[in-house]
Amino acid sequence: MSPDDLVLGEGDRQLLALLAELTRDEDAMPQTVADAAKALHDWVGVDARLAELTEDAVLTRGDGTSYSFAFGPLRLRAEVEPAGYRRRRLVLVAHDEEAAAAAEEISVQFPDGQTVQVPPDRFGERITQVPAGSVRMIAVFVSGAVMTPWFAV
Amino acid sequence: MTETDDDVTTLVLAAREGDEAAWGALVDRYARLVYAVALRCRLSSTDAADVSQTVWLRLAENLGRLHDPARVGAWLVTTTKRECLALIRARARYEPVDVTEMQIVDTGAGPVDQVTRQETILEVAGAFALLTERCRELLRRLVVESESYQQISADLQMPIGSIGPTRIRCLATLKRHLEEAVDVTR
Repeated sequence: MSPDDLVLGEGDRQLLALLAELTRDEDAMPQTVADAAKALHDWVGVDARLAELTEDAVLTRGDGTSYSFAFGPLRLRAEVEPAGYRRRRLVLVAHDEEAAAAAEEISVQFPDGQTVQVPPDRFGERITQVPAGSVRMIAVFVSGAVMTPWFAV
Repeated sequence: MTETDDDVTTLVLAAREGDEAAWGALVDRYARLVYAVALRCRLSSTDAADVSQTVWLRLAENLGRLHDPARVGAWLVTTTKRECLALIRARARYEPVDVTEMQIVDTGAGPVDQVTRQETILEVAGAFALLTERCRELLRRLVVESESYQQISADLQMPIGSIGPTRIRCLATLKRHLEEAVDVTR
């Protein structure tokens, strides 16, 4: 007991007990978490054009979910399907409605900053598999790059 | 000690301008709290680390849009809770819960009590985030029984005589923030 305990009321002690639980959780943080957060410094101030979700995630056939985004005439769409334990299959489509042209490049980005380009396959489809978690889609058009907000897959 | 954290405003403004050291200092201040809030949302340590990373990325993206840089801690706590919910919802959509593999922590309290306690701790986290770094550190040490006043005095470079009164002031500020949060949600 510290000298302060003499002036603490019951409410204070309860509050300190809650704070003690919170502090124990704080102490459990691995240093790698802080290191990874510090490495995100490069993302401060990145001012890319952000497409907006145009409708809530839609359930598609089977267990799939579809996300649709737009920035002006640019349309981005991601279809997500389960692909094994904690893995997801993504089908990515991006096109410019006005110019009637597909995106030149489409990439998937992960929260650690890693960006993986998804080239078209022999059928022209851009399909990839990713771990469950958060991703965002980046599409490069003639007019520039557009990214989606993070979405759960 | 003042009850406002001018310091954190300076850090946010500097980080906005690309100061890497300021960004690192913000992480040092709040990373543990963000992680603790994620754990309190009943996430595993792996998921808490993932959510932490997403939250810091969101801060990096939104640093220039924060209305009140002094409240960046509260913004981080709120964003963490939101990201936890998003993860839990996404998980529920894809992965039915296997009750045989659930890790249930038996604290002796009933389910309702446990939920209430978790919510209360998350409220405390929100109020805690609004304290100055010095206040947070003092209160952390107040709940660590083994810390002596001599140790705290040396670590935080404070006269021993001011430790007790300062901690009481910090506790009072924490309670005020909690009451204000309750008033806002009413």
